[in-house]
Amino acid sequence: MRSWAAALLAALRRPGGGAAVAATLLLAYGATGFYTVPTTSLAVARVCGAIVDAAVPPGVHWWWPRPFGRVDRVEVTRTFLMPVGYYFLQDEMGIPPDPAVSSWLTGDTNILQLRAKVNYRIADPAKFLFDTETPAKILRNVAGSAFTEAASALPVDDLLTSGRLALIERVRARAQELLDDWGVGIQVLTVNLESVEPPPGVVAAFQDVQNARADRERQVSEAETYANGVLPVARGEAEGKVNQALTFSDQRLNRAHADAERFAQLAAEHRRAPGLLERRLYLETAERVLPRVRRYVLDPGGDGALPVRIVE
Amino acid sequence: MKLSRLIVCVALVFAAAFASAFVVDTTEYAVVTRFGRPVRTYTTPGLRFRVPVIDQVVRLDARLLMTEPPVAEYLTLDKKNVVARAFLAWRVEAPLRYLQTVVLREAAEARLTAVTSSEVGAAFGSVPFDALVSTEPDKMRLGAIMAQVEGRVRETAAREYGIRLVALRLERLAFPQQNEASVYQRMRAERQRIAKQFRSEGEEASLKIRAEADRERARILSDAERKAAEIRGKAEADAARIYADALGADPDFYRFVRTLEAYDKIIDKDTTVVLPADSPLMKGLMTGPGGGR
Repeated sequence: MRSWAAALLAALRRPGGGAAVAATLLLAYGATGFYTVPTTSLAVARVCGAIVDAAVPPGVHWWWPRPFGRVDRVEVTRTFLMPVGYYFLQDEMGIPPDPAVSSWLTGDTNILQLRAKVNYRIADPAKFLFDTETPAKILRNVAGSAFTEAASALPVDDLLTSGRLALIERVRARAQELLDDWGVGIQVLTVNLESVEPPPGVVAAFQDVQNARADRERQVSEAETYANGVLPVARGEAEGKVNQALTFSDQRLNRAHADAERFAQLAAEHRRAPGLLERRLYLETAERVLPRVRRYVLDPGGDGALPVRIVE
Repeated sequence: MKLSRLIVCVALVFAAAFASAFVVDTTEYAVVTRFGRPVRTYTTPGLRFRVPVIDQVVRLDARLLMTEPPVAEYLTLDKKNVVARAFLAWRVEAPLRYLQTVVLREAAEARLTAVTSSEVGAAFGSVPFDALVSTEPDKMRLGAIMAQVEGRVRETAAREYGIRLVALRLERLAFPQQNEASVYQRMRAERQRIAKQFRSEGEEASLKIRAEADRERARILSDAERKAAEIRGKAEADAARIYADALGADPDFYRFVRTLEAYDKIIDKDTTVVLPADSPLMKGLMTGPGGGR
C-alpha cells in the first residue's frame, strides 16, 4: 500500500507527471463504459436520466459510465407468461383460486370459471422500462377486463363450446389495442384458454346436459338403424309379392292356351265325326267315374217290388 | 505548493457542482421549491441545477401508474346487487396542481378511488341490470356506461388533482357472495330444463323417424299388393278371353265336353248312381248287339 502511494507521488513529481496520471485515470474510468448486449436483448442507453438510444442492438458497445450514463438491457425475444383467472404460485401449491379471481359473469347471468395464459413479449423496451410503473400488472388487468367485456355479452353455452376461439381472439385483439393506446410497450402474442368450466357446485348439472345431448343423438341413430333395417326388408317383401303375381299370371295364361289348344283339336275332331267322338267321350267318362261309386241299375220292366239288382 | 492549491480548487468546484446539480430521470418530474414555494417544474429528463441548501427538489413519478380500488358492491336501477372491480391507469399531468392538492400518491389514489366509486355507483344505479350483462346487443350498454364514467372521472381528476386519467375499466363484474347459492340454484334449474328438452327432442325425433319408416314400409307393401292384384286381374282377363275365343267356335260341343268333365269331378266314392237299364250304357248290356246306339 505504501509502495503504491509512493510510486504515485514519484510519478506526480516528475515533469508532466500530473497530466499523465490524470490521463491514465481518465482512460481507466472510460474503459468501464464498455458493455455487451446479448443476442436475445436490446438495451436502452441514458445520459443524465434522458433516453438517448432506445434500442441498442446486440453486440459490444461503449456508453458513458456511471454516474453520467446508464444502460438497461431487456430480453425482447423471450416470451413471458401472465396467468389470468389464477396465480402461478397458488396453482403450484394446489390452492384453488378465490372465486373473485377465477369467476366471470356470462351474458345470460351464469357463472363460469376461466383459466387463461397470456403470452407476451416486450416490444418497446423504453416504454416498458421507463414509461409504465407495473406493465405486467396492467397486462393482467387489461386481459381480465377484456374477458369481462366479452363474457358479459355471450351466453354460457357459446363460451363452453363454439365461442371459445372467437373469445380468445377478441380478448387478444382488445388487450393489444388498449396496451398500445396506453403506451405500455407489451406485445400480446397469444391468449391460451386453458379451461372454461362451470363452478364446482353445478358441474354435475352441466354434465347432465352433455349426457342428454348424447342421449338425443343415440336415440336418433337407433331410430335410423331401425328404419334402415325395416325398409330393405319391406322392399324385398314387395318384390316377392309382385313376382308371385307374375308367376301366377304366367301359369294362368299358359294353362288357358293349353286348354284352348286341346279344345280346338277336339272340336276339329268333332267336326269330322260328331256322333263318334261324343259317344267315345261319354263312355270314357263313364269308365272313369262309375268304378268308384255305388251303382244301381233300375229295370224298367219290373213293376211293384223293388226291382233292384246290385251289380258289384 | 502549487499542486495542493490546485487540488483544493478542483475539490471546491466539484463540491459546488454536486450540491447544485441534480438529475431528472425519464421516469419522473421534478419540482424545485424554495422555502416550500415551488419555483420551477421540470417535466423533461436531463441534468438540472438549483441553488444549494435553499432549493429543495421534489420528485414525482411521471410513469403510467395503476390503481386498483377495492371491490365494491353496487345496486342497479332494478335493485339487483352487482359487484365490480375496477382499475385505473393514470399519470401526473400537472405536477404543481398535483403537489398542491394531493402531495402523496396514497392520497391521490384514495381520491381517485372515491370518485370512481361514486361515479360507478351513480351510473349503475341509473340503468337496469341487463344493460351491464346481456346477450342482447341492443340492451347491452356496458361499454357506453363505462365510457361515460371514465369521462366524468377523467374530468374531475384533471380539474381537481392535475391527474390525467388514461383509462378506467372494469376488470370484473360479479354477483355478491351471498347471492351465489341462489345463482347456482338457478343455473342448475336451467341446465335441468335444457337436459330435459334434449331428451324429449331425442324421443320425438326417434318416434318420428320410426313412424316414417313404418309408413314407408306400409306404402311399399301396399304398392306391391296393388301391382300384384293388377297382374293377377290382367292374367284372369286374358285367360278368359283366350277361353272365350277358343270355346266360342263350338259352344254346344264345349257344353258337352265340359259336362263330362264336371261329372268326373263331382262324382266320388260316396256317390250312389242309379242307372236305368235302358240308359245308353246299360242298354247295350241288357239288349245285346244291335240295341241302342
